[in-house]
Amino acid sequence: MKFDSRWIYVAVFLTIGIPILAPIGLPVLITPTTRGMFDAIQNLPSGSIMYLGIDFLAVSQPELLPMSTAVYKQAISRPISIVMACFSTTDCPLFTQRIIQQIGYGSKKYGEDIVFLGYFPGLETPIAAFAKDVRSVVSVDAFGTPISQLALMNRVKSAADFNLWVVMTSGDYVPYLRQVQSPYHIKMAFGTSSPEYPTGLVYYQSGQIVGLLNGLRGAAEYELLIHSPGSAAGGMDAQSVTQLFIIVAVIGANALYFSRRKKK
Amino acid sequence: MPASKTLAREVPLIITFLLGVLTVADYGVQEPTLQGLSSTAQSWVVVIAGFAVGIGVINLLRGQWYRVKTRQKGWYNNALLITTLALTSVWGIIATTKDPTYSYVYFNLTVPLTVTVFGMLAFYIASAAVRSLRLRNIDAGIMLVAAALVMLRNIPAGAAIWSSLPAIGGWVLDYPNLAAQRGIVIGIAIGVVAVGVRTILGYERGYLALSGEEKK
Repeated sequence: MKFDSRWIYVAVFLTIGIPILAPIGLPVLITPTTRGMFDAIQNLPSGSIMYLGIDFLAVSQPELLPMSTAVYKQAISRPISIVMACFSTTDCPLFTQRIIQQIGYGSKKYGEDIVFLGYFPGLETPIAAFAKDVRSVVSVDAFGTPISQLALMNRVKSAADFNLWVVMTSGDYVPYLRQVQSPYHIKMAFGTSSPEYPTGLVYYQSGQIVGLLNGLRGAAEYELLIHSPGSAAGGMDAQSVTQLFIIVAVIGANALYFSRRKKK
Repeated sequence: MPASKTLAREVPLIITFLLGVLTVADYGVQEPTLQGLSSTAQSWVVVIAGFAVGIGVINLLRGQWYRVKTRQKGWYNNALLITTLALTSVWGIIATTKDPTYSYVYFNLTVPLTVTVFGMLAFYIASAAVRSLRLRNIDAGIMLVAAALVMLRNIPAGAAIWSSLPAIGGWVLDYPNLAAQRGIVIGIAIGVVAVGVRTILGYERGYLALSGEEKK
């Protein structure tokens, strides 16, 4: 008898949909990689400068937008300065602007405590140039203001001026590690999608990065850490039930396979 | 050698060699003039990459327009692509991407469509897993058990079922996974160095896109 795949589609639809409509509220434990990023931002001394790159593709939005929002919320609540820019994707300026529009700058003043420099195409080469001499790449910010008129940018000449470098990426770890972390020994942390998380662990375990957020799970953990549950925390029940269903269905399919083989 | 052949092959090779050596030297030699030249070369790349986006758009339009002009199967999809590309580009240039309407269209059309296509993978992955993950031999068994443990580690339900499950899944990620991943990363790094050296020395010429006659 041939099994109709559409039953699986229906089951997946229900396992995603029902927990979203009726949340179970399973507790989310905080993993060390998430705690690492949270602590790195939380422990930055007053007056530190943090780089924040919200630098992912639109396809990663369900996982990376909630974690970017949570990290941004934490960053603007700290007595630090924030420089935002992006090098990976053309989607980045729109996501960054959306987060700024929704959350604002908190108690920070644009130009003095926080700036958004925009998108620079070419990935690794502009990252290297930016790290070496910010002014070789940037002359105006994302809103067209010359950076000479932005007080914060007078304190930023190269990557060496940053105390922490955080990037939300769909998987572009290496250019940042190669051009920023390794030559300038900057503390670095990434937020990424779940499929890219195992690769990022290589750099976490080697000590090259201090934190790593794991997709929707990492975003949910971060939302809980900053006491601001959002869409990621809400989506964890759906992810739990769907993945449990897949595990149970695979076990069931194997049991059926063996029982049929035994009969033959 | 004809002048055109020299232009097409030798000049790019010389430029690649000079810029490659300059960039590599910049990492090892603390010399202000050299570092200034390297910085300038790197900022050129940002400009060239900007132009590359434009060339990409022109190439895309040429291909799409040809399909519309020759009325190939599904040509209306190509026409739709050209229209939306033209509209969003012109709109983005005139009103800038900070325009609320531009942003509204992006977040309410582009993002949901992209995410939906990606989200469909959940259904296909579930179906593929159920239909193809069979315990036929030890290798398949190891993969099945490892996949289940990592999945249970990633979801809150894992800890709710048994508090040690996340630790076991974490072990799979931290040891067998990392051992293999690190090997891959080191292998890629060595490969990148090898390709870089070959490119600087002119042995790697694929980027020149030479014709058969020019390669000789």
